[in-house]
Amino acid sequence: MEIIKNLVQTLIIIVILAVFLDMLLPTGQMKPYVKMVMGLLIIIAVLQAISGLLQQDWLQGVPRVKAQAGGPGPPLEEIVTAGKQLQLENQNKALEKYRQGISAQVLSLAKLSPEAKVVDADVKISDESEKESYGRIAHITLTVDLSAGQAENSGETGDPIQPVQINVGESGSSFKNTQEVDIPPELIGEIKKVKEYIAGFYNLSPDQVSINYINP
Amino acid sequence: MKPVFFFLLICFILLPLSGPAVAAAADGPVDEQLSGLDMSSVEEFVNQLDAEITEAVPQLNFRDMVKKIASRDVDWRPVDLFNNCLHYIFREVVANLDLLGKLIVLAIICVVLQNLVSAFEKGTTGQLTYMVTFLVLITIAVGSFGLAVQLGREVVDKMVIFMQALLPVMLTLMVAVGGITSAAILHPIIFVSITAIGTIIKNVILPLIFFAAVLDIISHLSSRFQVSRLGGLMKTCAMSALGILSTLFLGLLALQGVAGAVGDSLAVRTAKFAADAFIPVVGGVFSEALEAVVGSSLLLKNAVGIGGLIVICLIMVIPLLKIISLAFIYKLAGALIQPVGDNQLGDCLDGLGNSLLTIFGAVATVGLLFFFAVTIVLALGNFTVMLR
Repeated sequence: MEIIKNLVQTLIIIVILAVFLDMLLPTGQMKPYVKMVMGLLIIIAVLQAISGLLQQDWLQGVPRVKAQAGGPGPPLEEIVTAGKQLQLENQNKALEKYRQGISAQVLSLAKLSPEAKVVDADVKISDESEKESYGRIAHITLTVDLSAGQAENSGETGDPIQPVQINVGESGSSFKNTQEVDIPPELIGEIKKVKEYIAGFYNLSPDQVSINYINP
Repeated sequence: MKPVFFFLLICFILLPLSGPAVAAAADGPVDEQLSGLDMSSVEEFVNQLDAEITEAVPQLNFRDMVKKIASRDVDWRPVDLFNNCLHYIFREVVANLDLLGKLIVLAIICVVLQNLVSAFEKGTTGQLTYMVTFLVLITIAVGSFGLAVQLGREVVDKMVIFMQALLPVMLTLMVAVGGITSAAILHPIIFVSITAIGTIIKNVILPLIFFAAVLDIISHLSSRFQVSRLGGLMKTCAMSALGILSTLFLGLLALQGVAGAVGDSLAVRTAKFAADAFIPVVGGVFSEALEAVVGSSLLLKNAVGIGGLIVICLIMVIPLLKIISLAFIYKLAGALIQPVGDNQLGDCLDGLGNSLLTIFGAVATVGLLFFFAVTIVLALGNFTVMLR
């Protein structure tokens, strides 16, 4: 650009000089010669600029772009890492939604058999994305409210289910296993049916479905 | 027809991204994702925008704007924007009236002197005075023309800096919706080409237009010494370079981007198929849930992109209006002088007006290129999701 800038400056000077010479010289046969000389000067200036352009190291202007080629913007790794982080957050959100959806579906299926008195369902999903089992149902826990069953059996109008404090891992937990609780034999049959039905529906082994009892 | 076509094209590309159902469903997740997204460089740039822009759009906050776009809560009305632009053009024209006054007074002096040439003992005395007045007029014109060129260079600079801040955010969101290949392919091309385009336009094309304008003015000094064709050659070179750059830039981006988007969609489809097929019974639910969440990322990406497009327009619009009002002033001065009788001067001012319009075109082309670059990145994310 410097060469072209110099050329334009030279041309401006030549033309202004030519115009003033044209005015100041006496009228006569000199004027065409002035025009020719000035024209030749312009041609020389242009040719000089062209030869300068040809001799110029064309890569001289490139380093700026070359230097910036790796430079502009953050590196790709940084962008990909940030994007993958967002992707992971999305996956976790999707997994949670999926888990909630499946839990609701399991509960609905369990309630198809009202005698079993299943009041809650909790689904555990395999969340290790590297493993092949990612996204599969790992375990289902059904919660059965024994008091609701007893109330109905005894013909009472039945109070609504009271919220239960769940203290997992503590002694004296509200949750109890089948072996520890006295369960009416007809309820055991119903619960077993529900358990098998749900395990079959989701293509799980019966071990993957467990039952918890509340209000024994 | 072309602007209408481009407008319709952009509407077509952006239409699928702003469906009310998606917007309504994804407001919460979008807010969550937006708060976790690092947009500090974009926000910093927007906060440092000129006082003139912040005066036109008060409380310009990029994050808020993106949030509003995502929730379809933008209360900008096109009629108001159009009226504001018109208002600004008139304000600029009024502000440049003193320049118009100077040009016309000097032009009238030139015309009067030309008519008085015969009154002097020697004709050259009158000619010399005329020449001096003409040179004064040209100095004023070239001065304001140089300012317009400088304005154009600053706008290109600002747009390049903004694009360098915006694109990482958009590419991050593109990776989040599954477009890792597209992002990897686009990253080097888009950053290098944007920087290269900015540098070439700033250091080659705008100076060439300026030189062409100067040679055009010099040619009007005398009808006997003409260098206007050299000026024309420079102008043609500048315009051809601009055309080639635009074609290369858009062609490369579109081709590379589509290749990447197809690859990405294939990867995502494979993952979806794996989820559907290998997770017994409920695999479909999982992939649907994932798609719903990815949709909110897509919505956010589109909102960021549209916000970026708005900021590019804001960066461009005021300087472009300034340049166009200056061109109008020169053209008006040329038109007013023509009836007085000095064609040489009238043509000179008209030529300057045309050169200013060329600068307007060059700067607008850069804006349009960056506009399309953002739109292509936006559309590629949409393609990746659509091809699922």
